[in-house]
Amino acid sequence: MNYDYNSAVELLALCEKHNASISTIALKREAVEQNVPEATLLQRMRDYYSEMRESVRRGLQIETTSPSGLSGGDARRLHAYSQSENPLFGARFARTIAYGFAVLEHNAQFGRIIATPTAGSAGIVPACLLSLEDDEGLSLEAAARALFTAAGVGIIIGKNASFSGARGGCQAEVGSASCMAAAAIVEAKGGTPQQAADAGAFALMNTLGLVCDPIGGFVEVPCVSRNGMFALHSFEAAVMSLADVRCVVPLDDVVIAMRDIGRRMPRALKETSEAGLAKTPTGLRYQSGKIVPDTRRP
Amino acid sequence: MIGPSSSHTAGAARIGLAARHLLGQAVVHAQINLHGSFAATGKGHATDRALIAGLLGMGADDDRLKDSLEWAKDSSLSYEFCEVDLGEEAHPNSVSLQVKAADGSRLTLVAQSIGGGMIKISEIDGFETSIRGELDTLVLWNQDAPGYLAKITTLYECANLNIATIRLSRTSRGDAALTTIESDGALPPEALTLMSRLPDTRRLRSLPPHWPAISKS
Repeated sequence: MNYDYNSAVELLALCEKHNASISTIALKREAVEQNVPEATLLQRMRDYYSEMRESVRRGLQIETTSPSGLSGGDARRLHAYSQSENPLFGARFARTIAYGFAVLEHNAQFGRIIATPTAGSAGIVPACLLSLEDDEGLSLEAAARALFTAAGVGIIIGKNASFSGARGGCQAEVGSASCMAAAAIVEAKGGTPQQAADAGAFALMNTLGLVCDPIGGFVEVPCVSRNGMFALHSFEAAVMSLADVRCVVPLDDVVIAMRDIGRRMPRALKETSEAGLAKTPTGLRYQSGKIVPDTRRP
Repeated sequence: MIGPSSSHTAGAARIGLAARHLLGQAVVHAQINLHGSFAATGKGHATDRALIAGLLGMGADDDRLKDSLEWAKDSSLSYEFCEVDLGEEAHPNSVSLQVKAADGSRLTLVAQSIGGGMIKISEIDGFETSIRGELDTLVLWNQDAPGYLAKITTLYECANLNIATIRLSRTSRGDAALTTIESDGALPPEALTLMSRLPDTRRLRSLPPHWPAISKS
């Protein structure tokens, strides 16, 4: 049986044909592609989720700054605030942001992380799933399934656009992660495959144009705070979709738009640190990260 | 993986490891030319440390990656980094590598880190190719001769192995060529022995999927 697909339309058709969720189709597709039993793949995803949890746990403990001095300790601050007496929007709001920060802070200190889909966007999916685990009782099994939902949607982006910040800017990284997380949240909350795809479309659509201009070439500013903020953003997209708000532009078209914008985006704003935040007076102070150019060249 | 960037760190480590696998022995010197975003943000993203880690045989999730430049000293691996411009068409995360072994063997490689830690090798020893490293991959340095591919593919058939992609590129007719074959499974050692004995085979390397780390021997 072939479960491969190239677009959201094809994925949704497979879901309909087999009366299955996105995670089921993604799991079956992977089992065929890799020629590995589904149970083995589910176990592997459970292991990845455990690694994600561990990266959050470690990140929340960080008290020191990263080698660049640009990050470190903020996940802890946010977590402490979430446990304070009357945190704005409730404890979960700050805690979810803290989780997103935690993974990226851990990453900036060369800790082990799971790229979902990239390292620079690795905080969003774990933050969303851990938030669901904390407050909605998401089981380990369901978290592994949710990761297949995320991966199932990610395949559409990977096949039709790119995850690379150097190719498509931050929209390709954080946009993709938020899209994948939004779809995963919807399925975990019992939404339909169409609702999951719409949540993904909303999330990605709202990140279009996001550039990659990291200070000093380090994956820290604006990446750390952006991962915290875009975890919540994924929930917003999921809420809209669960409320049956349909995205006017379907996911496939939003992916095309992301690729188009990525191609037109100037090179200086695609992970080269040659413009934007990297070239502000603050950014220039951290510019030493650049590889020394070849002096032998005329 | 070990941070900070999947393209600039994990992908770079995998490219370094691919070069180490293809050379088939320890690297003693590496000339590393970085293009585009690799050159522009490579230091902050630890591209240098990741490439060196890979050349030392480390995987993308090796805890030693962040100290790989120290490990290089211990392993007597010397290296030089340069910035190059591989042209407008080149992927922004491209690297061109020249590596050398103690016995004088050399290998050149051009590769791209295409996002999320995935990579593509586009050139080996000046021959165009396209390897992703997600399947079992056979690389043959061979003499361009009639029937060579037929012999090779027959051995795949004998091993009951499905070929996913196959590509032969050559400099000119009857001259040196490079053949790369990706398959759904590994060739048995007997088949590799037979292939290496073919008079037109100069050298071959069989790589498992996802280039496993090489422990220091």
